[in-house]
Amino acid sequence: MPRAIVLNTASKASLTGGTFADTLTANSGDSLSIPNLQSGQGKVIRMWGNNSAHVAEVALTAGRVESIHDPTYGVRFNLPSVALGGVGTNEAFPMIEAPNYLDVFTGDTLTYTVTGTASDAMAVSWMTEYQDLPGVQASFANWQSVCANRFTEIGVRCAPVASGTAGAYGTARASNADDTRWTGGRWYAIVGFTVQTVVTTVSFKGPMWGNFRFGAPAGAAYLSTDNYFVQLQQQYPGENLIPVFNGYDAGNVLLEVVDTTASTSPKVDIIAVECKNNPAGV
Amino acid sequence: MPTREFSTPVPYIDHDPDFSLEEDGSGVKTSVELPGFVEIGFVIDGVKVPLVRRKAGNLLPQLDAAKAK
Repeated sequence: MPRAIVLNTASKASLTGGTFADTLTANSGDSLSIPNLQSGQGKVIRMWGNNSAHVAEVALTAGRVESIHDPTYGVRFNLPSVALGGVGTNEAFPMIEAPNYLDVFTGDTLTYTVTGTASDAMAVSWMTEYQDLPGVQASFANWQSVCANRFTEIGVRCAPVASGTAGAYGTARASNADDTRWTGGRWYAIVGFTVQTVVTTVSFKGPMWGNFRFGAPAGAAYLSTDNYFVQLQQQYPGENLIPVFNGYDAGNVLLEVVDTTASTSPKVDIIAVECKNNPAGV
Repeated sequence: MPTREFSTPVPYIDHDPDFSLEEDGSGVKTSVELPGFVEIGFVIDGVKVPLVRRKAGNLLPQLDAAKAK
């Protein structure tokens, strides 16, 4: 059964403002639609978002009542975007956290409507797990397998920059663009990453993950991202959620950043366990 | 009772740009300036004491737009 973990982001660079007056659109390469699944079902395992300059509220709706209660407001989420250090210092707040999740079904479409302030930027990202997505054999491991194959550990710098359009993905940057120490033939399990500056979302993409994005929030509410994928996997013990790639493919592992502030450079250090054998076993 | 006296605080605002090293198609790397940060605080006894350091990516265009009006 081809499994996949897929990150999507929806955003709007400049809200009209008002009570649920704005609807977010999918970022380039992403989708609000649930793909055609063999099992017919997937689940959103994590969701986060931010507004650039004021508090905001998001209503998530979809067509299926088994997924989201009703099509009026569905599931409503507040974003306290001026909390903590104020504007520009938060960038991501939790909306759905493990062990909670949201079921999604083939053919459905997610809709994000927003109550916000005119001219603000808004972004929401979410990770969906599909147990059986045709055409994908994504390379993810569990912590036990990573430990069993562990050789050493490495932290590698990669410095993607967020788009000049707030909420959009910035230019993709290869994982070996700023630091070339990945070794061809060795396997790398990405356990997490650290940043210097908070951003809404850090995305990873590569052919070993079906060319779908997956990723993580890197806002103030998530500053301990060094073990992010290990912790995510441990919250879903039966699932493989630690991404794995071969060092030969380092140039095809692409990082992208979403932020509700334009042109932020978080300066990512990817933390990975180097393995002699493939801990994902695919 | 205060045990130490300070000079009269003087407000300051600094722009601290960030940079990204970008490679063109021929492998030449150039440093590209990014909006970076704006830091606002007070100078006390000659020392900058920052109160707020916020990203400049959205703020600078807002200031430019306001200035243009």
